[in-house]
Amino acid sequence: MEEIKKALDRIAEGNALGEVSDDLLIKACDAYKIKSENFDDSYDYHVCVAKSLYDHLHGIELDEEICKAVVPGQTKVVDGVMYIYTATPGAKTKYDWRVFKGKIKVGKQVDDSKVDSKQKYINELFPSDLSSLKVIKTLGGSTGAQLVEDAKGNQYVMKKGTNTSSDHVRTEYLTNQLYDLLGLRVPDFELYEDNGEAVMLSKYIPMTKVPSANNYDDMAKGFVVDALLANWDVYQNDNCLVDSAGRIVRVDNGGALNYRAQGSKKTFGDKVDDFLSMQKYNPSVVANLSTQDYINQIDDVLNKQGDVMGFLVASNIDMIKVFDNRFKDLRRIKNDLEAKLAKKNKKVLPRNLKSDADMYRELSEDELDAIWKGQSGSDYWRKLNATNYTVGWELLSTICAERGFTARPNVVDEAEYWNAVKQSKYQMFRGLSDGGGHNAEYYADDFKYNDNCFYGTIGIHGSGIYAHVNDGDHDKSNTQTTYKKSDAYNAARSYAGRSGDILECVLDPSSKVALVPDLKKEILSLVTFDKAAVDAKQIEIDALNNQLKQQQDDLNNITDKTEKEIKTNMHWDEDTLVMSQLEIDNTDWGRLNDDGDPDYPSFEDFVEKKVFDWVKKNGGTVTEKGKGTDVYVFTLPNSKEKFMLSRYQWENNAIKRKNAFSNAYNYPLKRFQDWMMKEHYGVINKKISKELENIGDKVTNLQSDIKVTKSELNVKTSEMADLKKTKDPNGDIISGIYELVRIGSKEAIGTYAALKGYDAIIEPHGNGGPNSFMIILNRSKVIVKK
Amino acid sequence: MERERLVSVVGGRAVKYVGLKKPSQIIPFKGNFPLLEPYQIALYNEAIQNTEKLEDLSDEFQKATEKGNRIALLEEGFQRYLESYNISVDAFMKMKNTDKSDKLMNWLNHDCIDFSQLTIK
Repeated sequence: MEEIKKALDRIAEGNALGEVSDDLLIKACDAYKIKSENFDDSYDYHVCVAKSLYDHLHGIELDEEICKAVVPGQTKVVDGVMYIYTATPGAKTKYDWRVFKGKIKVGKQVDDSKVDSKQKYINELFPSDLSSLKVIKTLGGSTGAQLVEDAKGNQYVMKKGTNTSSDHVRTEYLTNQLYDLLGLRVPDFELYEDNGEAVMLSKYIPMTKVPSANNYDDMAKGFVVDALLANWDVYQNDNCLVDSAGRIVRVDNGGALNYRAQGSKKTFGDKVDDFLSMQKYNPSVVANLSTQDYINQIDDVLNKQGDVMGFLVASNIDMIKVFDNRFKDLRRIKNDLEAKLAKKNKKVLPRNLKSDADMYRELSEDELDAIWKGQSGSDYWRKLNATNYTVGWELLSTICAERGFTARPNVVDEAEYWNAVKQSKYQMFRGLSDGGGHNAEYYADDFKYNDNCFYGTIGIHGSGIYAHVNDGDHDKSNTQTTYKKSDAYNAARSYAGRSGDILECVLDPSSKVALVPDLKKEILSLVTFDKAAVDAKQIEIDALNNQLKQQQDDLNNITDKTEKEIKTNMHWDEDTLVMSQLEIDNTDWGRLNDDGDPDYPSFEDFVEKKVFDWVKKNGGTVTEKGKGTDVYVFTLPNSKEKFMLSRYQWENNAIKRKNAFSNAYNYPLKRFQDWMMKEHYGVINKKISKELENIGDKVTNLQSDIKVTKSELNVKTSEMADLKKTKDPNGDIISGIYELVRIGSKEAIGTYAALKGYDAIIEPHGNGGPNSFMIILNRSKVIVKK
Repeated sequence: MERERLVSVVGGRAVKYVGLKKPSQIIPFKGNFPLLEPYQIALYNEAIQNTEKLEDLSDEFQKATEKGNRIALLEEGFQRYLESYNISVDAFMKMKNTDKSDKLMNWLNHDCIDFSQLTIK
């Protein structure tokens, strides 16, 4: 171990004894990290740090290997608390985490000058001095709100940080400001900083009443804002009141943003998941909101996004990014709602289609270059394989969008669909299953109605949207009453699973379709190479592959043969091994008859007919200890250990339970099982291991030969690649596609076909199945049943 | 036949990972990588393009497929988790190691994944 690490360990030990401060240990740790040649401040290291502290905090025994990686003096802050990793007497791993005791301040530090300022935010509507307020009554609740009155007799509701936390009070203040900005009514309010403690005063509104069902529709008008602000309990606990003018006022907003009403923290994330949960738990309130109402509310909120973001930036509020993302998520929700509405109305919005001249034009070199350079990824492999969960295959999507291939399909009714089936060469079925947080119906609707076209992330025959073509070898029935018998429909059913959905569609007869094998040939012919050299190299590779196969067979034969011989010689019976365990474990030993007496198998039925047989099949013997005793002694061929089983025990004291709730088991049979496993199968296994060790040299030599052959194969494969590859596969899109296809991958064929303006490509007998796969590139050419 | 036993699905996921020395930029997987040697890649591609069911692949390719598929699913899960925080893979890569590890641990916790599952064996 390097000297510097030893020194750090000594400092950590001193720290454990109280001789060295935490601050000094941290400095020593930092020095070690800088000076040590072995230390790597990598992602891996910090994963070990995070895992180690996580386990400590959750009472999980620390993993020694992980802890070894963490350097003493390492610190980490979790939930505002700093922890230090240091020597800990009695710890299994020598070091452990504990709360930092040094002088370094962690978390957000309060500026002392601000703490002293009491009147930062005050306006003239509110008292300038909190000390002048008189408490009228306590309003209760976990936040300890009080009704207070100033010298002029004005009444306010006061919430203090000491009752919950100053951060909680400040958050409610922020929430009220946001409600105000977003056009919903809250009481007038003001925030004070009183010796570092946050205090909020809200104007007391007299003559309010608790809302009834008559007020729900008015309350629901702010639903989207409530969801955006994650004000989970706004509709409960009198948090909304009706003022004397009949207007809804959101009076208590302590449960919004990143706080729960009681003052504990909650996740205030980038997604407005609250939308669904608040709908779900407030059905009466939102009962009369239509999908269009939700969309309108979202539009209203989105119109105010600029105001909100501007306010957050100007106020230096630490939630800018979260709000930005929540607004984005509201747009997503709106899209989903619109898709739902479109479906509900059975009204398909007009499609925005490009002309054929645009769709099928030849893309210029400059355009191809721009597409290639615009695709993220450090090399051709990453560029061509890049996928995401919005568009799927990224490069393919870019090309298809350029061509207008991403436009929605032609969604038609049943009669029109069957008419189209008669016209088209390609009837298709696409199996959709639940997953990725959505159900199959969602994906079906996404394909039919969403302007965003998702191309999928998997496609070993070519990137694109897959469907089964109704051209199966065994059955290609395609009438309205018979199509479900077809190979293609059943294959789609496999993909859909039991709860999935099947899209039924056809390809427009005018579509340009190519075969995947033809495109592969075309791509591979794009680069010319020295055929003679390639053929010669292939012969070398084939020879090495044959040699490798032979060596692997030899290795398998050696071990298999040895094992087989030993098992035969030592009376290993495979059937007994399996059946004895199944028979014993699957029998209901606790069964009772109608009279409540034990009703498990008799000694004759189980022991004499089965157990005796098992022992004998494995070369053992069964002998009665003395005539008429019904005590039987079992022996095995490879052990001196005997086993005894008596009828008396079987009938009187065999059935036991671990506890009152567990299944009954047969005690002597359990012991019998153990005996067989240990004294028979275990003995034979040991013998096999020993013999394999004895032939170890042969095995080692063969393994070594295999390693050499594999290494040679890798070299020859690399040489072959050099012979065939383009000058620079990263240089342009076509070279990249060629390179990927050359190494055997076909995903890029979809991208190539889209470049060439094909609407779809076909892989005959995809994955060896009875029907072809259709890989759709131009969604607008699909006619799909509503 | 269940979808998750079809080679076109699981092999389709796995094929992107079987040849990589470092299978993920965002998850520090442990194990022997690449899952397949360079000379096996073309053979593997051919095998998965022509086989319908997972159990019909050779033992070696089945294992590689299962491992690659596991990597793909974990990678997808973590990416989706990051996306839920509006963090792209590129943005994640630019984060400090300590923040990256926190995100990783939070995701493991959130999706109920044991740390040991990051070791592919």
